[in-house]
Amino acid sequence: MKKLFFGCIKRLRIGILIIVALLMVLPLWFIITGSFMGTGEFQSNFQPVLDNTTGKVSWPLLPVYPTLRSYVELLLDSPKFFVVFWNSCKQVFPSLLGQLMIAVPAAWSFARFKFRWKKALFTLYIILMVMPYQVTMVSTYLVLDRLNILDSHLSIILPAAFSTFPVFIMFKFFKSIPESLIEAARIDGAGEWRIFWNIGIPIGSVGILSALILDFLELWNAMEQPLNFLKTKSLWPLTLYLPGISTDKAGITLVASVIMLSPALLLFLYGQKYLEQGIMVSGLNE
Amino acid sequence: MIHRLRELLHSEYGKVLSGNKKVKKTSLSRVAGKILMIFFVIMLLFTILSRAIESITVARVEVDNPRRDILTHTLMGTGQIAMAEEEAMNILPDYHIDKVYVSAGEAVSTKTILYQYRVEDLQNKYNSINNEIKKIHNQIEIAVDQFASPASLLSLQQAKDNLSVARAKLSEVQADYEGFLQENKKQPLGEKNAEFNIDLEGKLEAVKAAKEAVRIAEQAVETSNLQYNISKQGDTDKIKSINKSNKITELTIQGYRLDLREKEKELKNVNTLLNTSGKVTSPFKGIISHISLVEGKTTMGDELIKIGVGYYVLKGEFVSKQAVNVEIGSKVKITIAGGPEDKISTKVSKLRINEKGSPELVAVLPSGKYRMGEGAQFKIMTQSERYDQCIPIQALHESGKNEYYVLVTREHEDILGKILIATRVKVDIIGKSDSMVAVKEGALSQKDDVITDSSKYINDGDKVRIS
Repeated sequence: MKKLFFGCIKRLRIGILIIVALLMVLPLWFIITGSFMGTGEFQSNFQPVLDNTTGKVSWPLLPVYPTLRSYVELLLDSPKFFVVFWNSCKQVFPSLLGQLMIAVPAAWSFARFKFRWKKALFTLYIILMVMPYQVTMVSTYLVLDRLNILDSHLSIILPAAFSTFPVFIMFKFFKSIPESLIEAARIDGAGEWRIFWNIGIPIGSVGILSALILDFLELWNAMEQPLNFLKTKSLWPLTLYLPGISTDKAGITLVASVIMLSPALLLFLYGQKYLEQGIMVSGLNE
Repeated sequence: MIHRLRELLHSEYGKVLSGNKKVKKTSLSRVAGKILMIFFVIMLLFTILSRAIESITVARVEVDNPRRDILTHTLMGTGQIAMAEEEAMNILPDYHIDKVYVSAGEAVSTKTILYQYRVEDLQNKYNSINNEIKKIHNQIEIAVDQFASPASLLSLQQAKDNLSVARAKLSEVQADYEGFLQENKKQPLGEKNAEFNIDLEGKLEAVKAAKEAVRIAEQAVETSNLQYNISKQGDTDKIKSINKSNKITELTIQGYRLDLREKEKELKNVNTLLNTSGKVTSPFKGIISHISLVEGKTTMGDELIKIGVGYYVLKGEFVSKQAVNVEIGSKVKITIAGGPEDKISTKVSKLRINEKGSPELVAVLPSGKYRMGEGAQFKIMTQSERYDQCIPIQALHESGKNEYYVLVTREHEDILGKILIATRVKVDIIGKSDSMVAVKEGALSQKDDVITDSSKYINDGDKVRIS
């Protein structure tokens, strides 16, 4: 009896979880199925929204007449889309490279060395990390203006390269390397640079990768920084391009959304394990 | 609970560190990694492909800038070769003939003197025409003065004149007062006596009086302005009649000016005759077939000299609308049917209305072998005045009745960078030839790229690229 009761409870719990999971997946499903809808079908389903009138909107689970027309139109007839796509790449990848150059040594230094004001400096890093973008926006703008790099890709890359978040993530990984291992390396005659390069980076690679994946997701979806620092349209990333597509080309918007989420999704699947570990470690409190 | 969670996280992380130093990638992550690479490659390929497609689909246009130019009008037509047997010379009326040098049957060339006017007579004529010209000038001046203005407007004008006089007077006395002060500044205080004070007072009074005069004049202007506005409302009929009378005066002046032009032309002719001592040469080469001039008599205007010429001419009809700036003396290129193109070059010698009532031109053909009635094509190219903004005619589009526009390329900042957009600009035509159009200044600038040709149909707002 008791077994049956717990069995029912378990099934109920699974059922509720499935419903919640479906609700979570639903927007993604709508985007993917919507990208295969023809203009006519899309307009008939969303007439009240497109015309800004009252009425019922319906979104079928699967398109009645699936078509690749929007894909063809976007991929073959919209060179603008590729400009913004590569703009996103131009801004994200150098930012990540910058983070590798800056954040990895910084995190190693915080984790493995003892120096004056270390704690204060690290606290400053943490404060900067928890500060919302809106707080530092004006000061960042003024600095970029003084450096004369506003309205260029550098205005996005430079602040991102010096982001404090990856330092925090990597610090946790580097910190977890046993001191005895480092000492052993020192006894064997390894210098500080060799220890960092041959022990620190290989052991901390999981942390480095997880930090990079997390930052990729953040930078790929960044909207406020490009909106504030980029005036020239030809420098805009994907995030600013999507809202600019007119309602009569809503099908294209959905296709663009699918393409935009693809690298993020694939990268997530690729580095899921590192990501989980990164999140896990950032949640650890020693 | 938190302690348990922490332990769990530690153990999980420990497993990862100890068990998999090189994290073993799952098959899903391997596939995702590969797809990610392929995704970027595909995006690169589509980037190239979309750019290539765009370069094919965007209209390629040819452009030209508006420039200062002369419009060349071409009048083309066909005609027939005919024999001109006799040419007549008109004799000016009311001139005394001093001597006649030729008689009927005599051969003449273009240098042969035909007759001579009496020089004294010509001189008198010259003086009399000169006097008449002066008279017409006076008449024009009087007529100009007759242009009427409403009385209220006149008084307003008067008031305004008074005000400007008063203001001039004020600035004069003020300058005098300031000058007086400057002059006496240098003088020591002790020397400034009663006379100085009296003078200063006088100057100040003058300034005050001038200021008062300006104030009164300003008031007068205001009053006159008010009166003018009232009278304008009340005396609309009166204003109408004034306008009518002004129109009549204007027409009279136009008439005088026409007379003036005629007289000036006459004076020029007399002057030319005076320069040749009254001698008139033959305009044609041929034989005098008729002469009705009598020595010592004053011409009546019906006298005639006829010269038998016997040369060939081309007579061709044309559409008067197409004959822009065609006049006697315009160069004509003639192609005889079956002959080489534009071989014969001559000038228009006559423009007249033929017996069918159509405009016809006559051009004397140079000596050569011609056949009567032979067909020929003629081409006359004339030039207009210089216009500031001329564009090729193919750039012009018609949007309605007498409404025209051109498409110019304008640079726009776009996601793709700087792109060119075809933009519609309305233009007013002030001259037109077969190949060029002169447009009114203002709508276009010299730097504008006006689209003259495109690889496909384009409209306002279309993206274009210059080929």
